[in-house]
This record gives sequence, structure tokens and C-alpha cells, in this order.
Amino acid sequence: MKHEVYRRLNELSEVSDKEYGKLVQKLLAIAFCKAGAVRLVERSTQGIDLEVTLPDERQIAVEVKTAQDQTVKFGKKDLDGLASQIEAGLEPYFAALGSQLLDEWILARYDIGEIKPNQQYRLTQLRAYRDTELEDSIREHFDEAVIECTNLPDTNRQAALDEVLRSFSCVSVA
Amino acid sequence: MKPTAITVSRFRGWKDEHRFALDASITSIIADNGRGKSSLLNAIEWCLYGAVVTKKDSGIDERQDWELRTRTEKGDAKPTCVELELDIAEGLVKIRRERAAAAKAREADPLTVEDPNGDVLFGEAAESWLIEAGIPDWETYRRAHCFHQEAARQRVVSTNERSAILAALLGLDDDLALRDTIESNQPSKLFAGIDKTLDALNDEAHRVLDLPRQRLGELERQAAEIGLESSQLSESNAKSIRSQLVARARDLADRLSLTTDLPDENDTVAVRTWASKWPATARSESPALASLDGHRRQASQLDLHIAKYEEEDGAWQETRSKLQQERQTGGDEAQRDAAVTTAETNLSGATNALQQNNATVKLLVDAKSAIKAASRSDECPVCETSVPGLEERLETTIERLRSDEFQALQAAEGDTRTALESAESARDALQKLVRDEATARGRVEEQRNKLREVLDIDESTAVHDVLAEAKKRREKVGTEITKLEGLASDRDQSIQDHQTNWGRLDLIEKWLSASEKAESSIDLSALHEWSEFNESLDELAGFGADLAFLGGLARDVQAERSTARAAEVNKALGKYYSLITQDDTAVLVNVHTTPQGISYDLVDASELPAVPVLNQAAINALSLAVLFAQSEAQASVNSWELVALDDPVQSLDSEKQKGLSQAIEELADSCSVLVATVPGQLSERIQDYVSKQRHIVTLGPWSQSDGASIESEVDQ
Repeated sequence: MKHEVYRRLNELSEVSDKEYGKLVQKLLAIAFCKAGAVRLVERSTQGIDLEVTLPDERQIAVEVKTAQDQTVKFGKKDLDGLASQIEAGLEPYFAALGSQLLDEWILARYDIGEIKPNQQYRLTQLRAYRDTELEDSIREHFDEAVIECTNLPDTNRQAALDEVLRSFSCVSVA
Repeated sequence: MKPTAITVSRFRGWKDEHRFALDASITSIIADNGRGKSSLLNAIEWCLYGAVVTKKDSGIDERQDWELRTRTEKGDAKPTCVELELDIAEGLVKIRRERAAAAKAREADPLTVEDPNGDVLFGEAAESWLIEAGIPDWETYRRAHCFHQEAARQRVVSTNERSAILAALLGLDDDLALRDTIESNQPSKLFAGIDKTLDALNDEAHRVLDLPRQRLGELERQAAEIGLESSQLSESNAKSIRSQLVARARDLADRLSLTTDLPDENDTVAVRTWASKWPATARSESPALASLDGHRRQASQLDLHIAKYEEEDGAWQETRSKLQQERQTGGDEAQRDAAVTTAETNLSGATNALQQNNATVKLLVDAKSAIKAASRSDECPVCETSVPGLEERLETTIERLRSDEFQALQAAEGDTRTALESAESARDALQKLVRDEATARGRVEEQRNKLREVLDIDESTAVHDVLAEAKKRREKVGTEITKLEGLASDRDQSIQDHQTNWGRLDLIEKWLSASEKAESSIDLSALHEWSEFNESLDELAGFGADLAFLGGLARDVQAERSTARAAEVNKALGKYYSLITQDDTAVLVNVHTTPQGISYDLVDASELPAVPVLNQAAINALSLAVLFAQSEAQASVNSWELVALDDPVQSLDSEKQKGLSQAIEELADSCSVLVATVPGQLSERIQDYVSKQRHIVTLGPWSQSDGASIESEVDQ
């Protein structure tokens, strides 16, 4: 990622602590919007993190994870949630972002059974399931989102990003 | 697939060729220790698997330094040879392995296979036939079809060995092999390797990005040193300085009458190129200042000649003044010449008077000498006149002339001489002053001429006061020099200002460039090489993920099959263990599944590990029970149908030996049993109580000359 993006995310991580994952999820949602998403639902509490209808009308469900130690773990609830989205006609995805300078979003397809619940996975393992086209489509928009939207107030950071999200007509913030 | 006979020659204890039938349900080899029982069982292994069974890594520790060939007399060229006859669905197969008498340690032992059609396969083709025919591999054979007395305890005491044997017992050999194959590729190491590479790249990226940041810090320190505040490190300030540089240079160029091209102030590259060269250009190419040096040289020349003229003129004036004063005080040249002449005349007179005195004295002395010679002291020798006391009177006169008169005349002569010298000195001094004055005057004239030359005026020019003219000219040149020096000073100041501003501009531009680099992105995505690298990583990750997935799949299948087979295996295991031990103690195979893998153990009815509480006999019984259960299972899938038991009675009491014979009888329902044992309870029970078809071979004593031998063979 761009150094500026890396620097800002690091700063955000330091000041936001446990909230960081949710903030990054919202920034990713903004990136999808900027990339031309037709419809987007972002959930901060329960359910699938993101439901996105892409510009080509594909519908994806995304479970978002940040990986400060370059590993991620998916709970059974997360995997079940993704699996249930398949029945609803959405393609299930993991979105994982590491904490290193050369990291970019890994948007990985979820094949049921290949990822086990509650097991630690290196980000490298998820590379096997990457959708590089989808990654390419949001990369620059995510950088923009970080640069434009990370000057957040000390309190209510999520609310500030929600407000940005709501400015996109395609968004429903759940 | 059932072995029906074996022929051995020069193998371990067996020297001469012997053939043993193995086609009975139970073949019992009975002999005391050291008569060749184990050699016979080992011969089957060597025939099937070759050199691997002779080494420590065979899995049987005692095989280290195993000597294959019987020690025979020198010159015995017959090879070591074992031939196994095998009954398969298609007919009879002969498997034969040989080792030349002179074979070297690492030399392979050739294998031949004669198939049911009589075709003979050699070497690799023969080895391949064994695999394709379904002959179990060595590991399977030693765990599932063979009871080695030296490895009996290890089979159940060693955790890994036990787990592997139990896995085989559960019929999971293939699953284990698949897992081993997959996990030997260690996908976790693959991922760790990729991560390590990415970590190193991240470190390098940080290093590369930190360099311009360090450079930025260094430039900011330098800026502070020349009084540039951080707010001044901006493109707008750089633009302003560029504008100033060009404007001042234009002004200076006008004043210096320079015809030079100045850059467009908005062209940063052109300004940079020009700015570094401008000081040299401005210093060296000014027509306006070109005459300054000439003026300076002229002024310097005038200064020099004026000073010289004034010096010479001063010297002449001083000399002339002295001459005038000398004339006034000591007379002129004529007066001084006259004084010399007078002094010379006086000296001449004095000299003559003195000479005259001397002549008188001489005359008187002569006269006195004549008187004395004539001895007439009172008579004049000339006129012969008698003069009383003449001689005395002469003496007195001579004395007077020689003393008083002479001294007076001499003093007078000295005085006149001194006077002459004084007059001459005064005359000479005046003459010298006259000469000096003339010389000084000449020098003044010479300097005047030189000044004329410098001023470029000649005698005809109506300039009488050359010095005044020179001074006037010098003043004019000085005025011009002052004017030009002012211009030069202005130029130097302008250049100095230019250099200061250029230094500031250069620093600002460097800072802006460093700032841009420091803020630049690590956007490798546009690089073809980075894309290829990532694709390679993705492929590696994909391979690793496939491996991990297959490993997981193999584990799942294995766990599933383990559970499915456990009940059946436990039934067989329980049966044989109860038969051998003659009691109802339960021993079960327990399947332990974790995310890391599956392991197997033997547990009691409380599911506690069984082995730690067993005595030696029970361990042996358990080892046999596991083997029997496994052999039964293998035979049920039409695999290898022979179990070889080498001295299975270790630590078993008579009751358990009886139980063992019953277990062997039970096992013989599924496959042939080859049992080598010492004479005793087991051999007797096999001979006398077992109802199955038996082939009883009793071995004779072993001898150095003949090796092992058969004492008797009985079919029952």
C-alpha cells in the first residue's frame, strides 16, 4: 500500500485500539462505494460484515478481518453466516488486511470446508483463494478512502465514517 | 497370495541347499537355540526385500552389522541364494535372490522372478513385479506378518511403533501413506517460507522509504542553518527566488554590458542549469570591467614613476644645496686651486731651507774631518789660516745646525705640507660635490624622460612640468578605477547575493524532491515483475492450501475409517489376547483425533493406557495378539497369507503357551502360520493338540562343516 496509507492506518490502529477492525471495515465499504457498488449493506454488529452488489451486478458477502499479526481466525458463526449467504445467491468472500507496508487487501473466495472454524490461518494461506480482479478494482479507492477519511474525531469515529458512507446513495448502514 | 516353499543355500546358519515346504496351515520349525530357526524366517525377508533387512534402519536394532552369508571354506564360489515359491491366483511364482560369494558390501543382490508362464524377470522388472503383485512392503511386512523375537517388546512399548502398527491393524496403511506423503511436503513450512520472504521485502521497503525521510531531516537541518524556516520550504518560495535570481542577473548584465541569454524563470530546469554557471559568467565576461585591470596597471606604473621621479629630484635638490653651501663657505673652485698653489710654494721653500741646512752640516763635517786628518785643529784647511779653537767651533756649529736649526726647519716643512693637504682636500671635496650634483641632475632627467614615455609625450610637446602632468593623469586614472571598482564591487555583491539565493533555492528544490520521494507510494502493482512474483506466491500458497486441505481430508477419512474399523479390530484383538492370556482382560484400540493428527493407543476397559501396567509376558501376549488380529485382517483382503513367528514364547508360561497354540490354530483359519520355536509346551501342543494340517520340521545340531541341518520332517 502507499506509504501514506500505511502511516495513516498505523496511526488509526494506535488511537482506535479495538475499534480499528470496524473502522477499517467501514473504509473498505467506502472503497467499494467509490468503486461503483450498486448496493452496499454494512453491518457493525451482527451478521455478515458487508453485502455488496458490484458494478457488474455480482453480489458478494464479505467477512472482514484485520490481521495485526498476519494471521486470522474465523469463528464458526462467521463461516456459517457466509455459508447462509450462498443460499441467498451471494458469493461468499473473506477480506483480510495485514499490518505490513506491502500488504494490500486480500479478497478471498470462501469455499465451504476448506477453511475450518477457530483455526489460525496465515494471510499467506488465504492468497490461494484470492480474487485479484476484485482486489484491483478497489485498491486505489481504498487508498483514497484512507487518505480522505482518517482525520477522524477522537470520539465517535465509527459514526463519522457512517456519515461518509451514508453520503453514497447505494449504502444501507445496518 | 501364499508362500508354499522356501529353499536356502549359504544363508546365515544354512550352508548347503535345503528346501522347506510352507504349504501346510501350520509349519512348525522346532529346534534348540542356534540351529537355524530364525535364519529360515530371515531368509523369507531377504528374498523379498533384499539388503534393507540386513541393516539397522530396517526397524530392528539388532540387524546392525548383520552377516548374510554363511562362513564357508575359502574358495567356495557358490552364491548365497534364497528361493521362495509363491502360490498366486495365476499359478506358481518363483522369487529368487542371490548374492555372489565375492560380492562387495554395497553391491546389490540380484532378484529374479519366474512367473506362472515361465517367463523370468530380472532386476528392476522383478522388483516392479513384486510391487504390482501386491507383495506388502517391508514396513508392512515386519509389522503385520512377522513376529521378530528381537522386536516383540518394541512393537507395543514404543509409542510411535505401536501407533503405526495399530493403524495398520485398522487397515489404514494407505491413509497413513497418503498422510505421510502430504505432510512430508509440510505446507506450514511453505507458508512460513513465503512469509519470511514477504517480511524481508517489507523490511527493505521500510529501509528504502526511510532513506528519503532521513534525507528530508538532513535538508531541514541545513535549511535551519542558513536561516530558512520550514514554512519557507515551499514551491511558492522557490518560484519567488527563481524570479529574484533572474531579475537581479538581468540588472547586473545590463550594468556589465553583458550580452547573455537568461532563462525563463518558470523553467526550473533551465534556471538550475543557468544559476550554477552565472557567477563564472558574470565574473569573466564583462566588457564594462575589461579596462579595470589596464587602468590599474597604468595607475600602478604612474605611481611607480612619479615616486621615483620625486625621489631622484629630492636627491638632486639636496646635492645642489650642499654644493652651493660649500662654495659659499669654502670658496669656489678657483679660490681652492689658488690655495693649493700657495701651499705648494710654501712647502717647496721649507723643503729647500731644510736641504740647505743639511748641506751646510755636511760641509762642516767634511771640514772637521779634514782638520782632524791634518791634525791641525786650529788651521783652516782651505785657506790655511790659523783659527784658534777651530775644531771646537766647528763642532759647536754642527751640533747647533743638527739640532735646533734642523728641528725648526723640519717643523716648518711639516706645517706647510699639512696646509697643502688641507687645501687639496677642500678642493677635492668641492669637485666631488660638483660631480654628485651632475649625476643627480642626470638621474632626474632620466626619470623625466621615463615619465614622458609613460605619459606618451615627447620633447616637442609643450608640457614643461612632466611631474604635474603625470599627477594629473594619475588622478584621472584613479577616478576611473574608483568608478570601475564600484561596479565590480556591485557585481561581486550581486554574485554573492545570487549564490546565497541559489543555495537557498537549491536546498528548497532538494527538499521538495526529497519530500516527494518520502511521500511517494510503494505502488508496486504497476510493476510486471511484482505481479509475476505475487502470482508465484499465490500459486505456492495454492499448492500449500491444497496440501493442507488434502492433509485435512486424509485425516478426516482416516478418523472416519478408524472409527468404523475399531469395533471389528477390537473384536479380533480381544479374541487373540484372551486366547493367549487365557483370561478376560480387555485391551482395546483407542483412536485419538486432534487437529494435528490421529494417534492410536491400546487402552484397558477404563480407556486408560494399557501398556504401562503390563508385565513382560502380557506385553509379549499383547504383541502377538495385535499381530494375529492384523494378519487375520490382511488375509481377509487376500493379501499376504503367511505369518512368521520367531520364538513367540518369550516370557510366556505354560498356560499362555497353551493359549498361544490355540491362537495359532485360530489364526490358521485365515492364513498359514510359520512358527519357529524351541522344544517345549508350544511345540508339543502344536504337534499333539492342534487340529489343523501341520508340517513339523525338527532341526539337527548346527555344525561348523555342514551348518544347519534337518533332523526330521513330518506332515500331520
